Amino acid sequence: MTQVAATGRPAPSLLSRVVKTTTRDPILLCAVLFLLGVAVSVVFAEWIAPHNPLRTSLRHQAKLPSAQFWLGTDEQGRDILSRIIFGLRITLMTSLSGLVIGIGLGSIIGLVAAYFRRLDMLLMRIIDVILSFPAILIGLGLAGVTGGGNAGIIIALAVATVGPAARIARSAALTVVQMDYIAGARMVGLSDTQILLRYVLLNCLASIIVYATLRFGQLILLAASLSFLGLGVAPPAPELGVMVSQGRALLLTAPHVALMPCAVILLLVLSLNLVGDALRDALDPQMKA
Amino acid sequence: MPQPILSIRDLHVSLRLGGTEHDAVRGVSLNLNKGEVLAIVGESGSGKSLTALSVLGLLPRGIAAISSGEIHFDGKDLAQASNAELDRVRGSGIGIIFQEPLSALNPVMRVGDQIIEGIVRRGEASRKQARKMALETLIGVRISDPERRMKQYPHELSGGMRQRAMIALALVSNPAVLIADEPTTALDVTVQAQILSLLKAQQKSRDLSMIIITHDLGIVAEVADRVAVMYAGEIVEAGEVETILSRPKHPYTLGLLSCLPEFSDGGRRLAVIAGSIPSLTESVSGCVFKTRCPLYMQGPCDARIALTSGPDGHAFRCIRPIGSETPAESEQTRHA
Repeated sequence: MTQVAATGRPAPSLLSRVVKTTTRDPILLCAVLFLLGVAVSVVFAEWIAPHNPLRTSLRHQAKLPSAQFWLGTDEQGRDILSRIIFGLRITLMTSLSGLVIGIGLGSIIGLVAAYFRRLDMLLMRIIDVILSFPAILIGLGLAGVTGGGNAGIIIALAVATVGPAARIARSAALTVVQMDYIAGARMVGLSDTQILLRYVLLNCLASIIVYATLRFGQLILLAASLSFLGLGVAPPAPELGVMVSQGRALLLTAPHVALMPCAVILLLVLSLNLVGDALRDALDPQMKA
Repeated sequence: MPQPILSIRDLHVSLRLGGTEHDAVRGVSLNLNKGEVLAIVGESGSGKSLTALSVLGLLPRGIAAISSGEIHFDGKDLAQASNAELDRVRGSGIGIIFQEPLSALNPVMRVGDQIIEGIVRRGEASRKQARKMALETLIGVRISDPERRMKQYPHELSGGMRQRAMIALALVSNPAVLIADEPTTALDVTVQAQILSLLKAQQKSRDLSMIIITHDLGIVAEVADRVAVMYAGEIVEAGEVETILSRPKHPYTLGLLSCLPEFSDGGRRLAVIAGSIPSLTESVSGCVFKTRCPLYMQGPCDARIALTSGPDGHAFRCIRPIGSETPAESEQTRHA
């Protein structure tokens, strides 16, 4: 990305533009740093987590934050910080899988609907039907069928994302397919698949990426809600929603047990939304002044 | 009479608007002879672009379609041709330049790659040769710093450079026929002149047959050999440029001509043709221009009017052509 602008001045590289935009806005900078921190600790959880997230200790039940346990311990004496780090891994993997599947399928449906106008009516009405089911309901239903576990949640998140993703992709693609360069691509003799992938998809990618980033935060919330309701992983495994759900019983005596994972979810979703907004400002042509 | 290289016979194009079909092009017949420049003139919505797009089978799918007619090129009827047959004609047989250079180039692909893609895709050359051909064509369209333009994205180019790149994209496969759909509409006047002279030069040196679609009679006078005036989906007048511009027969053509601003007229208000082109949903019986025609006469003008052709190839669709009216009416026409 280091081509030279028509003016002859070298265009700033993508990386330097990102760094410049981020450092100019302290709140955005905090969000980006927090997300980076989360990413690093999730990837290297085994080395970064100070304690074993599963080891219980009768001596350290529901302790307040201290030098030994930075975020305190829960009702079984397990280190909350370590549980959050490992819990983030599960929560993020679940919501990311749901996001990728949902955005992927939704984009394909939306692009196909916009490009092959004959299928538009059929596909978008199917999407309307899918959209009419609340994600929580789908999650509950799937949990009943699959007997709980992460797969059910991932499917529920994916289904909840397909609808809006298809609509976003379709609306972006509708303007792209009218462009002369699509006629030009047909002129060149490219097949429909090639035109869809290399012309339509690439030109809609900005809108899809922005939507995916914003949706990621919502899906984390949704995934945590579903596991809070007891639909996700089984209790001994750390998961943010499960931790909140278990800490609920101690809300009056040891509020930090429930509030610590809550705070992490809050910060995570907030940071993702901030980054998503910044991305939209940078990428979405309609938002430009 | 030379054999035309491209011949359109009684072309009808229907447009689907809100679930109903409307005839947007009605019975257009055109001949393009080898090495000549034919201009199609008309205001927005007259069906000139649809006519051009149907030649290449590029009508927007699901919205517009050829309902009847023939388009003969290279021994084939393009109106009936399959997509694979059209593929062989597109680019190397007939090339096209679109109106908006900004929307005609894919913003996420480098200019060079877009030119190369067509050549490679048609199997005309290897990637390396294609790169050379693309560069040569870019040099041919006199774009500045062609090496660098190849590596740039469309948004990094100015409007004139983009249009030059578009022309290179169309010319690189050496088409026999070039269709230019309002090639200068989106450009500054000074750049317009450069692009026009470039097109004219390329047409001469490559012995191209060219259809130029425009609403600008100045362009017609400058580059065209013959001209067809379209109105509401029909050809209302066609013939040699000199004849049409100096002795128009159809009141619409005269109206268009008198709308041209002239400096010598200093201080006069700009002439306009009152009213607007009938919308597709209105059905007009008889002459399509009658709602705006200063010479409209109840009765004869309400019947269907055929295109009558004179010995010099000058054809017009009017039963009260200019020159046949009474002096009083003639005065009225001039000031309408």
